[in-house]
Amino acid sequence: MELYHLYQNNYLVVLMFLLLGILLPIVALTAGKILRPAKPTKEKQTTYESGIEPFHQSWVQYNVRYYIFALLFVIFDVETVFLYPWAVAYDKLGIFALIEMTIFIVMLLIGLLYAWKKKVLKWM
Amino acid sequence: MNGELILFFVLALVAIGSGILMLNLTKVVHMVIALVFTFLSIAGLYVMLSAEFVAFVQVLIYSGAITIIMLFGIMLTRHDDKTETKIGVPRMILVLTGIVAFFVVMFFQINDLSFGEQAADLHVDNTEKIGIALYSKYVIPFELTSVLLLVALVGAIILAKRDDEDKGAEDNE
Amino acid sequence: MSSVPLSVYLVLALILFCIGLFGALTKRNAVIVLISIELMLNAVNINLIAFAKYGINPSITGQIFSLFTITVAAAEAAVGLAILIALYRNRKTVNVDEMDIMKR
Repeated sequence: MELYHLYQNNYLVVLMFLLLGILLPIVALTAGKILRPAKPTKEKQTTYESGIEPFHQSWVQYNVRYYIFALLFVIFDVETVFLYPWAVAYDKLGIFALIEMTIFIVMLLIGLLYAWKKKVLKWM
Repeated sequence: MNGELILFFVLALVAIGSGILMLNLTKVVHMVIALVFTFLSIAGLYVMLSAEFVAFVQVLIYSGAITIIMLFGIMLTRHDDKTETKIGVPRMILVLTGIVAFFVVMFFQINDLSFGEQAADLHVDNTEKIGIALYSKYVIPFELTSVLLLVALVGAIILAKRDDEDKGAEDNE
Repeated sequence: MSSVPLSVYLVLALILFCIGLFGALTKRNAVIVLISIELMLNAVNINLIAFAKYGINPSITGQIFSLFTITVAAAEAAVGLAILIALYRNRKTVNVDEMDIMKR
């Protein structure tokens, strides 16, 4: 019972940090906006003040290569998630858990090797 | 009205509010950003339900990885157009009535649901408990997960990579 | 003990599920449809974790199941977007109404 309240109060600290983290940039930017002089002219508001006029959409078509890197990131992110509880509970699990995790990592290593063979890891 | 209830309502409001905002925004990127807020407040709800580790996983995978991959998907497909929801009025009415009916039926099913008991110590050593149960009781699902991830990785690479090969073949000719 | 009852969590999950369902059925951009499906999966996860704490015979199992659900959702998003990119390359559209080549 007391432990549960302790648990909740611990997250109160997290909440405070979160609020501070949100408020800090908002307050800083708003204070700056109030304090600084603002005299916008048409010249000042162009995107590149002394460069050429932008003539096209800022969005461009990206290469598929980037997607494959994001994909690898997602897959190995999920792997990390399963590594954490394994590492925490390792002392109580014994050798069998090590074998399980080896199989798991080897499986994903096969995927990485496949990606390597397919040359998607090369930048050019 | 105690602190826990207030916190729950704030989190629920943020979750539902950004969900509805997601449906009403016009730019796809803004919709994804709205969804991040939903994911984060759901992580807060997991903490309230004494599932610390799942909350952490929610932040790591949903508001980290899946959002990133969705943004990449938007960048790689056509992105400059606004998402118009110009579906026909009859279909809209059909969908809305269906969803409202589903909502009402489910709502009356779960409205007064209560089993009376609560897990008292789920939050104590949460990650370690998950580890022990996962690697002793749920070994087979865990290994199947690795197979699933392997298949997803290989399949997605095959699907996404095709045009690079074509380009390479053209270069060789 | 926690003072928020179980049914409130379930109702919240139901509302999120309905929002996701509405988005999945009415939006035409396929990326948004995928995102709405992620929202629905999240609503299911809330249910699993709420029952892990409040259900009959509460235990850690619900949390482990939601871990698996999250994994499957990540794999689904990855493959779904890969299919979408392949489709966009061939058809130059991400509009779900125009993906009807099997119907013709």
